[in-house]
Amino acid sequence: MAHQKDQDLLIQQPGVDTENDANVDSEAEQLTGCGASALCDPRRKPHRFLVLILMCLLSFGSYFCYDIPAALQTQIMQDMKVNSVKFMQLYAWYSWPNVILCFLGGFLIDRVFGIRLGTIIFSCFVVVGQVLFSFGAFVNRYWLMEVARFVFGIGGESLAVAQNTYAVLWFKGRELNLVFGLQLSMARLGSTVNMNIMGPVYEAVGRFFGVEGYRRLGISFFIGGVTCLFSLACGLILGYLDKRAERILHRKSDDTVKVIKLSDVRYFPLTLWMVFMVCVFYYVAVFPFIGLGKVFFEEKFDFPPAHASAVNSIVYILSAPLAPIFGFIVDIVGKNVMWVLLSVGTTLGSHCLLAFTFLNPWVAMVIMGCSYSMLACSLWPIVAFVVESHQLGTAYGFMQSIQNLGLAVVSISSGAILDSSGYFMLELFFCACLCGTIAILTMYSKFSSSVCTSVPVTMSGQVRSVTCYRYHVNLY
Amino acid sequence: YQVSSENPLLLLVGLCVQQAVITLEVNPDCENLSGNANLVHLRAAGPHDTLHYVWSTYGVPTLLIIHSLSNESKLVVNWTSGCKFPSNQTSEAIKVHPQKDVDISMAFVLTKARNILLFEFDDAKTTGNLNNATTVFPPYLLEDFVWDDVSHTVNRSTHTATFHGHNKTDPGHLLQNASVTITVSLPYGRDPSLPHLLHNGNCSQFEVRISGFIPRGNYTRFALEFMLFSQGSNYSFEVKKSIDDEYTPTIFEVLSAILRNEDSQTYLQWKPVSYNKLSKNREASMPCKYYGGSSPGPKQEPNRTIAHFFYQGVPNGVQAFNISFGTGKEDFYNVTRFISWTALVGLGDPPLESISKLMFVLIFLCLGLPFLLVLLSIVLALKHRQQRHGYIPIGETH
Repeated sequence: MAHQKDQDLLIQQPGVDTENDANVDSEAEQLTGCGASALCDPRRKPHRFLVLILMCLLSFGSYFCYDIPAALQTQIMQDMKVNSVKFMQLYAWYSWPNVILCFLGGFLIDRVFGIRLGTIIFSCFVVVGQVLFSFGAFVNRYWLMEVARFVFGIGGESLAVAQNTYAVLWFKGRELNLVFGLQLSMARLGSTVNMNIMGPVYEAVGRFFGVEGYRRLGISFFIGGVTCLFSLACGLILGYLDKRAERILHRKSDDTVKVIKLSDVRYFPLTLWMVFMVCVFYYVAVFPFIGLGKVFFEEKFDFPPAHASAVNSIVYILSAPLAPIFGFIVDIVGKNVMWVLLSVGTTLGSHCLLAFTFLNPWVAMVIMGCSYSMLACSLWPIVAFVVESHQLGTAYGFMQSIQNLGLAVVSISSGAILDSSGYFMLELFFCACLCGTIAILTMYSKFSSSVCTSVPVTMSGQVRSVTCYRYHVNLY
Repeated sequence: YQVSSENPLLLLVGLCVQQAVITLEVNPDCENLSGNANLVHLRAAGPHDTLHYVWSTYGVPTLLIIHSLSNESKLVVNWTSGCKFPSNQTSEAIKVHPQKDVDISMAFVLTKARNILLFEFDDAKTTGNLNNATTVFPPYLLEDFVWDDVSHTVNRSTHTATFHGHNKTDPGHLLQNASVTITVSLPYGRDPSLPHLLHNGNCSQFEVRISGFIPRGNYTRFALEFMLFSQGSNYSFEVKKSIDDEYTPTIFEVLSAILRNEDSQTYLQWKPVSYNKLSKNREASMPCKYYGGSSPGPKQEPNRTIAHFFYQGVPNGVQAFNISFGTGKEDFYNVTRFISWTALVGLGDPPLESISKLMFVLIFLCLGLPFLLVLLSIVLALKHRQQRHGYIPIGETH
């Protein structure tokens, strides 16, 4: 049936060479020139690899620029004459709106823009946000910088949603876990490069342009903003390649039929809500802890400040190389939920080590780093198997929205718990979150059931029939 | 209570907590005050023994705790005319009657510093280590301070007294607002304010506040010097680490400086934290560093305190200490020009912190219940799985 439909589509496709070639599947477009080479053929691995690189670079700019304020905190506070509370507003303006905007962004990708246009629009928001930010610094208008961070936030988080959606479209059923792992490393790489490069850039700007104060800051931001332009370019190329692949592989077939409505959110399967909950409860047990961790290592384990910072950041550092490796393993083994369960369990173990023992915290934090990397690459792909493809953007957007909400709320309440009852109580709270996650996961198997998905994206030219396949995940 | 001469300390534990009757008097037996006495006496009487707490700023601020095995013991202050202390330090101006009972118990004396020597030190390296200080400025000698009349600040229901002192040798009027405030109290259980120290009924708490001193450099810290007097001359320093920081968030240690001999033990106990704002909270907290006991040279020893009257000089065990406040870049004295530090002094064994019942309940709720839930789920899932055949794992969507 699907096969038939594809052939119909093929006939309607303008400019398609209908001559059969022995090497190419009968229903696919014949490719000539570069298109025939492995690098340009969307059915071949090398081409997917190219797309993967573009996909990872897509968010490099936004991750790079997200952390620019942190990298130049003292310079910003000096040149713009702001205190640390005012400074933190730059991050608040980014994150709070995204409690809702991510979801909206994902929905717009599904419903209005489509993935390609959506990506480009959000990339533009990122570029415009960064340019405004730089301009605000250049003309010494702090309020403009805050507005700019808001604009930047609209683009940045929704771009991450688009990136996830792209990943599923191209890699579902293949190297999806690896791809999510690589995207995480890319995010880490973006902030690491930024942290190390922006200081020297600021110095160099002072030397070469001979400017001081806020103008120097503005020019440095403009230079940092080049990464956003670069990512926008990647988005444009990716859009072109995706359109081309869609034409060649006739991917459109089902997606045009079904259109998501906002009310569809109510009919998201229970399993998806469980994935959301796991996401929120896990992340709130890791990031707010790291946010408050430095003093914990200094006080409980008598680490000097530099040492405490090092052990506190090991989770981020480890995730960059480990996430793709774990993603690769999960791709081979499958059983995502089992991996998620394993990560949550080991994270719980590391929190217990930190809470109840005086064991060197390097042990616990390295375990946490490994678990986090494993979770990041195995949890996010599950969404692709739980919702239909026309709802993907919305689902990912929703997931990021409630993750942002959870992180914002828990960061505040963690501070309150710490102030009133100390780190031990805080650790218990994190343990409770993780135990809750484990409880949800063990229930997961009971609620999961088979769904009919739309045609899985195939890049092999072999379009599968619409399959109802079970995504029951083996837990035990 | 069984009085036992071999181990009189056993008796101390719980003395005040359970059935002590506490009476408070300011400048006892003093009819027309004209002097510098500023003395507060608390008498905690149990059925078989008594604890006397004597707090005074005569000379320098001093806290004296005396244990008597008689439940009718009495503090006697031999004032000269006008409620002044005699100039002769060896005169027995402060005694506890009957003296024979005092001798049996390990009468414990604590003076909080000879003078609490205050000195700032320039610490551009920001390590907060007193020994690395580039410049140690001349100290503020607390014996040069003038102390407000304590009778206005005594609280008879909470058993608290506050001594407020200003520097009187102030040529440049730089120290007009500079003050040292010492609040001494006799709380039960846990102190309601940070760092929420635990009390066991045979100790007294003090809080020292330093404020308003004009810093003498750009990056300065403050340090306090003080001494412990006791019959016990064996000094030891103990650090008790705990996994629980419920009562003092971010602080996992309790430190005790202990002086002991065969039949007595006295201590100073504190947590390594101080605060740089009047409203204490986590943000206002800063670490404090301790520089351990050394026997002070004769020149360093104070020449007049109420402890000298009691001991008729200086007892066997004298140890000098320093505490400095702040270690990081953000907690120099210059930032808020305020420091508050709290500690306990007492007899016998220092209070022992333990994990609270609330914590055990929470540990069960947070870890135990979910664990049971998971076990239940696994059992159910295993049962369920026996009835189920075949599945396609995720990622293998063929």
